[in-house]
Amino acid sequence: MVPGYSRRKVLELIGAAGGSAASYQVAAALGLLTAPGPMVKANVQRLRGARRRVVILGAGVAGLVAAYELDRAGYDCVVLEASHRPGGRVLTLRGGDIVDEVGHRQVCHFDRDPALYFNAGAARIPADHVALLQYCRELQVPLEVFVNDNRNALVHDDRLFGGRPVRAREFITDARGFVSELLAKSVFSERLSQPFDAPDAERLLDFIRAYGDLDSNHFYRGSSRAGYRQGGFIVPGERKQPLDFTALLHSDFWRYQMHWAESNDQAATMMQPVGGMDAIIDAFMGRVGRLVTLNAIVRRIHLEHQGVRVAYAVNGQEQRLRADYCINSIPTHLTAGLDHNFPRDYVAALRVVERGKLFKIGLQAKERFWEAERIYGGISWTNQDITQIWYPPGGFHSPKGILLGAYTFGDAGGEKFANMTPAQRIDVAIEQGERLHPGYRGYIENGVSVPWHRMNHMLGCSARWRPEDRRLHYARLQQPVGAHYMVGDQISYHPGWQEGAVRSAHFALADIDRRVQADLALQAWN
Amino acid sequence: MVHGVDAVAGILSRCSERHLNIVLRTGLLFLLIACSGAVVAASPPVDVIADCVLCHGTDGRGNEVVRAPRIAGMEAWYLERQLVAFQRGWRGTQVADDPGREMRLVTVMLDAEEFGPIAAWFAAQETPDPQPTLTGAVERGRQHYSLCAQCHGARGEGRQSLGAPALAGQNDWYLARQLHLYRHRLRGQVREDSYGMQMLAMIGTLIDDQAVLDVVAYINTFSERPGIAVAAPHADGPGS
Ligand SMILES: Cc1cc2nc3c(=O)[nH]c(=O)nc-3n(C[C@H](O)[C@H](O)[C@H](O)COP(=O)(O)OP(=O)(O)OC[C@H]3O[C@@H](n4cnc5c(N)ncnc54)[C@H](O)[C@@H]3O)c2cc1C
Ligand code: HEC
Ligand code: HEC
Repeated sequence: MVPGYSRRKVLELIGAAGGSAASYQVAAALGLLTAPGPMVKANVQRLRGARRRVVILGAGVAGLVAAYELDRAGYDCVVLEASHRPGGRVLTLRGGDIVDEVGHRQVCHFDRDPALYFNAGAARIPADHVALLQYCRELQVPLEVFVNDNRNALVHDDRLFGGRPVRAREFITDARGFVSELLAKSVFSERLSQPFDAPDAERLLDFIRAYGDLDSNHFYRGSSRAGYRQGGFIVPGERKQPLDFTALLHSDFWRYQMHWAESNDQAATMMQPVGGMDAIIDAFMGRVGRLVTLNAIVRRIHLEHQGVRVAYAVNGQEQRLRADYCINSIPTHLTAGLDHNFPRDYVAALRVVERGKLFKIGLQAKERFWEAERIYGGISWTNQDITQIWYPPGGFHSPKGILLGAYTFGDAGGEKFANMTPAQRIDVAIEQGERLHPGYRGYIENGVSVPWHRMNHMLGCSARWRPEDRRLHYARLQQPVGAHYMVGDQISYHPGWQEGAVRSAHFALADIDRRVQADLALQAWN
Repeated sequence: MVHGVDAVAGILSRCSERHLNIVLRTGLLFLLIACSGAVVAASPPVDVIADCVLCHGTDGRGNEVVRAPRIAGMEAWYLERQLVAFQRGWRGTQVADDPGREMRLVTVMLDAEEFGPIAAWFAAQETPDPQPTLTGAVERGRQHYSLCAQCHGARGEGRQSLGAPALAGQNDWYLARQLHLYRHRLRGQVREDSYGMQMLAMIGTLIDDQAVLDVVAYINTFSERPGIAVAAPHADGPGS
């Protein structure tokens, strides 16, 4: 660097002398440019005649992305998948499918109709998950809108109005109205208006009035946003009486469900592949299926001075192979139980990641009764164990439909359902659904349940990192050990999302690409 | 399936005392089977073994993250009895015992006739002794252990005549968890389960969590003897 000059000054001088292209190169060399935006493409450079072998463990999204990119770049790939099916936690169930739950193998009894499917794992894709969406575009996976938020869906809470469900729009509109009214009153008081001058305070009041739909005197007297009691088309609409605010406060709906669709990953527009999430898996399998060995259970991973040795069992017979690199998407909690020679700190990191216990139920309904209740897609929330009911976001007005009859996030809920027999689970789901939709039982024809912490080759979803463990161990697992790379949504800041799986695969691919290219450059030099 | 003499010797030199007599016994068993010309029917279905190792780790080495202990090299008689115990609901039925319940589910879908071959298979597996994960006051643990020794043996090698399994070479977190189960009346509660009840009668001497840690820390010392090749992971892994 020229003494006495700031970097920026140097750049200006270079720019003046050599044009902007010159300054770009120098700036890049000086490390002055901000890093390129988030990596959404893998860009593995082609091998051009050289040979490199990569063994990929697991044929979920992460493994298939890795295989697809490496295969395109001319690498020799082998994908070993323990299950009888590819896809991992992208699991779309249809009539006749096996649910491989340890201790309770079930068969899905839906009618054999492609329209009747249940996304038992991944189900929705937000617009910000660009790396995954990029593959949907590239592999031509047709997408449609997924309805995540529906103001006509129900809010049910035992502690609210004697358990009578209300429409989400009523709850949300009234809650906002009351809060706005309170806020408007306090704007008139000294303290809040202090930082604003008079015109700004006026604007603030207008804002609050619009936010809560207050009347001109800043009182909340109900709103058409909550829906009309009657009328509104031929005769004037008659507003609903506002709900009792204290009652609303006593429910827990406002804690997170009310704001569900505000979060970055849950906000409109959400999408889903037409016909089931596994359309993504099918698309990848169409390209790299020939590289995938199913029913191949990996048992041993041994790091060698260069490369990795892997042993896997097919029908109980152990087979071995050697590869230059290994990309491993097997859940960390299962990897920890394999025969391996990982270093101690790596093992310590594998041990801290806890497994989540997500649980879902799918129910086949012989009639789309919810559409008669003006519910098209979206989620009803309840404080019962089932937690939520999802209505199909498409296929409107067709005869039958698949409901999501339960989806629990917490460990206690997951355990509770997992410890029942499959038949009991369906029964409980129907009984609790009945509180939201009287007559529910009469519509349900059959159902299927998926406790992710009991599923074969999985035993959990999604990976949970305590903040302290993230700080201490995440970087260790993200970095390779020898030629072994841990990948999957578990090695991302988006566990429980396919996007996390894709990005972590890209992260590993970039590193392998860098190493291989450096290797080849050195060979050429020698 | 017959171990050659060299192979047996090789195994013996590598395994801990816990597994020593077991390896001998299963080795002899295979010899006997081979000599008597009996069919080696004792191989369990591969899909069942695949289920077991999903949780218990490759060859049954134990996996702390899913709380499934080491069953490799475990005495076949004890292993088989535990499968029966789970199947009959002596273990793994209590609401507060999720790991036990997970294990129990597996046994109820199996036929009790399969237990023998499964037990023999795991008894014959060798895996490295697990790394200690808990710490406690070893000296205090040694004092507590004097009672335990009467049934479990001075160095935790187990005594079949008393129905008491080996404790040496087992995952320490698992031992602690079992003692916790006994202390909180979650194991050894069924009259039919006479061995479980015998153990339950002894648990009163471990009065708190610290006593449990101490005795387990002492049991950990049994496998820390020179001359035993514990396949410890590399300190820093192979370079790249
Ligand atoms: C209930 C639920 C809801 C979800 N909702 C969404 C959603 O709405 N949107 C979204 O984007 N994501 C969602 N996800 C998350 C998404 O499914 C995952 O992020 C993604 O599928 C993970 O891909 P992966 O390749 O990292 O892992 P996995 O799909 O878990 O793949 C790992 C693979 O390894 C295999 N394997 C295991 N052991 C072995 C072995 N010993 N040898 C060989 N192979 C082995 C497994 O069989 C599996 O196929 C959800 C997940 C669940 C469970
Ligand atoms: C879903 C996971 C899972 C599967 C599958 C599983 N186990 Fe277990 N097993 C466990 C857990 C967890 C425990 C510990 C229970 C406890 O802490 O009480 C256990 C305990 C045991 C024990 C008791 C050990 C002792 O020292 O008392 C034996 C024996 C056993 N399992 C054998 C098997 C066999 C054989 C199979 C296959 C047929 C099997 N397990 C399959 C999870 C599993
Ligand atoms: C009277 C004999 C006796 C004494 C004394 C005794 N135990 Fe036990 N113990 C048993 C028997 C028998 C079992 C097997 C129970 C069963 O089959 O379920 C057992 C089981 C156990 C187990 C469970 C092992 C496993 O793999 O699941 C642990 C841990 C244990 N004992 C620890 C101790 C400790 C520590 C002491 C001393 C405080 C002790 N025992 C004293 C007889 C005894």
